[in-house]
Amino acid sequence: MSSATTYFSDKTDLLSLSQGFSQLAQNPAIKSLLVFVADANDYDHSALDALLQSQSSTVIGGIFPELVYQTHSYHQGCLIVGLPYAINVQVIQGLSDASVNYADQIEAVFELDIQAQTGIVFVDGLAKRISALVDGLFDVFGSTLNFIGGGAGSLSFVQKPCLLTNQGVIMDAAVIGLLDQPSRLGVGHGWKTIHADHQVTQVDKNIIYQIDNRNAFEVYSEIVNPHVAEPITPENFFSIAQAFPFGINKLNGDKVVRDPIAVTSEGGLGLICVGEIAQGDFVDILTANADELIASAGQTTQKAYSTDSTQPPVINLTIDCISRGLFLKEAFSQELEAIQYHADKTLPIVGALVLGEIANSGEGYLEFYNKTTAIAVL
Amino acid sequence: MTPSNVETRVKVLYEIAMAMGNTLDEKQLLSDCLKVFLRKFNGLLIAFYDQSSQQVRVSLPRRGMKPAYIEQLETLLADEKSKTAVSGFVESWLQHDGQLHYAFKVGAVGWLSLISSQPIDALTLGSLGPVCDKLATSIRSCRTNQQLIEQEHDLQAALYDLKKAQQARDSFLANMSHEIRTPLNGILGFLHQLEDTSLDKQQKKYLSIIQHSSETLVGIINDILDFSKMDAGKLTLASEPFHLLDCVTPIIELFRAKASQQGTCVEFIQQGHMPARIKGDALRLKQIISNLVSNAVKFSVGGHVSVTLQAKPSDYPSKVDLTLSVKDTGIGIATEKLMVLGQPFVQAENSTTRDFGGTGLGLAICKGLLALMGSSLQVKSELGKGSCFYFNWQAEMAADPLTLIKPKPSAALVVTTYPDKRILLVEDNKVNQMLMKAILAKMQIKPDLAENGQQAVEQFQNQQACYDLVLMDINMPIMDGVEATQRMREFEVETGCHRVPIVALTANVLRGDREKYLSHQMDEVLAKPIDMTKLYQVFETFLLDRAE
Repeated sequence: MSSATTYFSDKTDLLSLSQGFSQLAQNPAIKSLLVFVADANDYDHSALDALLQSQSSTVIGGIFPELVYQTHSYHQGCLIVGLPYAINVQVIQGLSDASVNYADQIEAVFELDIQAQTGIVFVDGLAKRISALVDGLFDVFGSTLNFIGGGAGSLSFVQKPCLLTNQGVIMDAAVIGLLDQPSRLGVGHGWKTIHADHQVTQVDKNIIYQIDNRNAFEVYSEIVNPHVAEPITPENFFSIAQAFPFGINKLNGDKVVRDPIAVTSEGGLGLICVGEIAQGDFVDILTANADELIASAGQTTQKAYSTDSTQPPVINLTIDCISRGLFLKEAFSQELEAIQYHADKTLPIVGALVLGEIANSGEGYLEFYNKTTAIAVL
Repeated sequence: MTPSNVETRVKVLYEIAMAMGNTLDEKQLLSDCLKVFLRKFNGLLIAFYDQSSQQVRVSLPRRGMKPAYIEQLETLLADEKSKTAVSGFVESWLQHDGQLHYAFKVGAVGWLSLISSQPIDALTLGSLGPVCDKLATSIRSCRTNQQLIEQEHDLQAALYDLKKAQQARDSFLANMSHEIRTPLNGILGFLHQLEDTSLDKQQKKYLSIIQHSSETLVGIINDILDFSKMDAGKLTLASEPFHLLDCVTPIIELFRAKASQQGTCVEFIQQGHMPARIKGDALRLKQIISNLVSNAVKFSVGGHVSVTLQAKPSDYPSKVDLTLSVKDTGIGIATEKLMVLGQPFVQAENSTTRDFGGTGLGLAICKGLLALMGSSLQVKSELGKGSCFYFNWQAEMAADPLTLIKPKPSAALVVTTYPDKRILLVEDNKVNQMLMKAILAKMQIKPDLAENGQQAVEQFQNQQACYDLVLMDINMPIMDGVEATQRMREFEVETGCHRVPIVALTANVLRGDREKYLSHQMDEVLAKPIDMTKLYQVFETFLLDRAE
């Protein structure tokens, strides 16, 4: 029976990562490596480049705000997951370049008859055209593949090299790994509508300038202020808004969550979101309490396990949003415990808290989510 | 469906509708629209089947369009194609893999086909008619726009072809002009020589007829060239000071003499305070007046032609308003024919050409030249009683006539002799060689002859440039006149010889030719057929000056 071999260290030094690589290299069954590194480690990029370039196994991974290992999240350390599967990893450069047609690029790097059932995709979470890449992925592969992944990078919101490949650590790019293994996917968030029917009337990609033809910040404040002790201001925006994301409606009642994280003074107090919103979209204002989010994580796991497996899995790959971690704080471990409760406990829970999640439910459009949990039983 | 679901449905349909009409590029429109459809319905695959091309035009995802799927779609369409094109949901069925397939009619333009793993409720399906209708309208708008783009492209291509054709025509005319002028030069030149020989009365009469015919031919060629240049927008007017009456009076005198032979009286009336000098293109003004007076005389045998030049003060002190009219007592023009007058190659009556001759280009050229002057040709006419052609223009008065006086070359056709002068004649055409030798013989000059540019350069060098004048043809085999001139000039510089005047004799008389040759270090340019007066003037200029 195939199994993953996992290496975890909560130490911040590069030597620990190096030791992990060495340890897993002893296992001849390992064909590829999923690597999660905490941003706080602040590795020397040259040394990291050299280490990554020296690996004989295929590497795909990133530097994330926090790591997920079993029922805890870690803001420092490293996690290496050795998979007994080959992964075809390709890099798409220029993730902020307005002139790139990502569908054409993806089509060019992956052969037409490629055998794949699951895709793992990590993007530079601070690049400007993540949604376009996600659209490009769906444009080429559609729902024929289960995709799971998310945005790497730092909570400092300073863009820097954050994607790990055999070529080294890179930035403003996407790494896409396709593997010919089945996976079972669950996607969910647990956020509920507290105020509906607001239309985004002026937006520039991920910055909402007007809601209902009025200043976006004013409208947002009017809705949120009755629910908080202290009125929302540009200064305290991040801490308050993390409890009140936007929800974009789908016909089946699902909502794609958009996380407002900051206020820009340009153009009159626009709301900066993680991910794009289309002009004319109707959005709800959502909220949730900790119990609802934790319960949702359990339900998401149940959903992933609700279909029969065609092959024995090796990991519970968990991609969770960093803003859920920040929102739940200490209670976040309960979310991971809820996941473990509904999962196969013999499989490790591995993954990261990311800057925006990429997943399809396995039966629909590939989306770039915020404040969402995506679990792949792989 | 609960009220909240109804609201969601309305909002989602609104969002889908919002995604349409944002672009006039059909592929982009379909791509944007299909993406929103798929996202909002959480679909797996969507495709647009184009009714006119009968194929799937856009599908999302690209690799999702399996042959079996297309087959199913084609089967459906085979049944539904003939039915009325009402936008909206048509049919759904469960596929073998458990996925649901929905088909929607998009007006008369095509079909939308959506595959989803989740069912779409009946109310939503029923509400998609207007959305599909909007998509159909948007697609039609894109196609109309595309047609406009293609039409514009076709027009651009046609314009390009037209310009190329125009260039080819210009080039053809330039070549033909040269080819026709070369033999004409021989004809007119030798006629001129023949005139000086002893001829009996009948021979002189025949000679006169031949001369007249040849001059008419030259006039026609000039008209065609002028019209062609004007038609191509390549004719520009000079703006040089000239003496107004000195420009107009000789034309009247010329035609008065001709008219008197057919019993026609030509009078010239001046009205108002006539300015001495004005700025403009004297040559072209002469051409206009000549054309009008020539026509008037031609059509008024035994009648009367009255040319009136009227000057009035302008609103601007430096300008003068001028009117010139040519009134005749000729055959007149029917009112309905006045409209076509001035169109190229058109005369008032078909019989006119037969009875009076002419190409019909004269008035067209006048109209074109007047348009360049900011004026227009007006006509009043009564059939059988006569016509009056007139135009007015505002001319700027030339302020300082003293600075404008140029020495007039002698107009006398008294032949000066230059027995001591050495001339190199460069000419490949045998007839023209003979003609020039005959002309030069009268001036007691025996030229050295070169039959092409290379021979000319060799002789020039062998003789150490000790010529008084070089008469240089331009179009010659082996080496043309321009290159030969350049070599000669180089030789002069290298050896420190004096600069020998080089006069181009060429049948290339299109716009820019003269300037081109002068810029290639030639000293003067004479057009073929050679105007003897001008030739003698050139000889006086270059040979008398050097003799002094």
